[in-house]
Amino acid sequence: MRSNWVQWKPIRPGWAPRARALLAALTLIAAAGCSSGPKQQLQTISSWAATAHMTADALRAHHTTWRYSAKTLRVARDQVDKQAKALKPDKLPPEVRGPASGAISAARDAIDSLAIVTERRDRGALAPHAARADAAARALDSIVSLIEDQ
Amino acid sequence: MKKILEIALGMVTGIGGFLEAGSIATSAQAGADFGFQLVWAVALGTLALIILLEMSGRLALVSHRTLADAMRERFGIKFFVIPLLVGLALSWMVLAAEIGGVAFALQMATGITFQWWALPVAFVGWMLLWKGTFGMIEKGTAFLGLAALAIGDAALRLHPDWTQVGAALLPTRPAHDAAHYWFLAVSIIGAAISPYLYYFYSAGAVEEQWDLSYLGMNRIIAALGNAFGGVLAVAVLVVAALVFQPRGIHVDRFEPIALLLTHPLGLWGFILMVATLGINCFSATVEIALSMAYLLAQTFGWKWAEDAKPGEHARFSLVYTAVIFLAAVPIALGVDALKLTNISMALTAASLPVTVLPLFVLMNDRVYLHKHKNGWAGNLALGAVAVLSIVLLVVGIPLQFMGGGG
Repeated sequence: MRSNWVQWKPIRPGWAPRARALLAALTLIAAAGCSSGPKQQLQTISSWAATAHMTADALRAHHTTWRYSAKTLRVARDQVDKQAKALKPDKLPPEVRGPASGAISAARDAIDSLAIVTERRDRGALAPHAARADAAARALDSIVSLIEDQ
Repeated sequence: MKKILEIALGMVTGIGGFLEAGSIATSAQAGADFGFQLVWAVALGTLALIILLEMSGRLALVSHRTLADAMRERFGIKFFVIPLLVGLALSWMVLAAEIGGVAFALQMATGITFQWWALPVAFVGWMLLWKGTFGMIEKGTAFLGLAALAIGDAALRLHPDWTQVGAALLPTRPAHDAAHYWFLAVSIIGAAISPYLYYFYSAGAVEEQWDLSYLGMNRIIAALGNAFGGVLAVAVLVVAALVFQPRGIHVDRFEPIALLLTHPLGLWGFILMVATLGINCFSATVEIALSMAYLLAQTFGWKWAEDAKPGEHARFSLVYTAVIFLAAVPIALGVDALKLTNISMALTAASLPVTVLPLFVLMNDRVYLHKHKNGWAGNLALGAVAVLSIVLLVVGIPLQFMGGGG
């Protein structure tokens, strides 16, 4: 099939270069526009702890596969490490710095343990570590709520 | 009977076209972060897509020109170069995001990191384009995409409060994270009305030689097919609101999405969600690559037809070959596919005026549409979409800048 080829008749040629320049500028602004503060970093860590908890629960109930769970827990561990490294404690209110640090460590330990247990394919050992991940997620959520209230 | 079958096929294709990486990811994020509150954005995006598809289909079947053909011809190449470049750049980003969606589905199924799957996915997609026909690509992948019906089943099994879901059809202000809320709204609408959908739809209408006898069917397919897809996108949002939000799970990457249906449907929920993500993103991958080839071929007057042998339309075939492999590169290098999805959906929303405003002019041009040009109701509907597209242009990028997508 060949498209019907009709003579090009440009209308208003003057504003086309301006529109192109505007578009390029908007794209650059969009590319520069990703930022995350300490509250969002704590939320992300909490979310990955909650994801690890749900992954472990689904695995215990035979609702997912070992391969998916092992990979997701490794990703959860990496994401928590990444966020924990990026988090600057001095940007948190002083009264939550200690509890936040404790909850992040607890989340990291629980996800680590879940990853190890999953690599070993030990379904029976998942429950206590899943509960720890859940507790860490809840602790982090409370801290985020405290920050929001301020 | 043949027309009823074609309508049924059109509806099935509508699901495949609608529910892809962008709509699955943004709906899941919306449900996880804001409960049912963003249902209105999915409904608005669906309605706008129905209007745009019906009109680009009508333009194609009356004038026998694709949307790209008509825009280039009516406005001239100096104008058309803008929608062309915007369309190609954004389609490439969305194509990369879709390849990322398939690669993540394969990671979920096998445990092998997504990067390793990017080039094999591109290769299989290219093989399908090289060997397959338009009908095979459009309908085959769409039929496989029916696995997505499991999401609707899951939403029903979770017994949501339908009054609350219905109430969320009216926009409300968020209680927290306003920038993120509005950014998600823009991304959801952007995911619903990606320009590749109507470039592809109008090219399909010409390729399948639709004529005036298809006027009514075009209307039914555009309305029912996409309404069906929109309902399933709402189902993703509802399930995410009921499964992820109470657990405090935010969808920062694709991995948690595999858990979406495990609570209501068990192991089958896991399998069907992974299949839905993989098949629908794969379907979008081949459609976008094809749409980019259509766009360039129609701009430069090359021969184009997916149903012909690749050697007969060499430049057309070269374009889809190049774009599909080039789009796999960022995913193979480990670019965050979900972030790419969010950014490309917001940019898509911001770019809509460059397609929607020329379409408004074309739909009122008697040279192209004769007596089938828009009436007052059509103009009112398309005018509303044009206003929406300008609002999205104005707010989309600043919201990204304010950290809404972070």
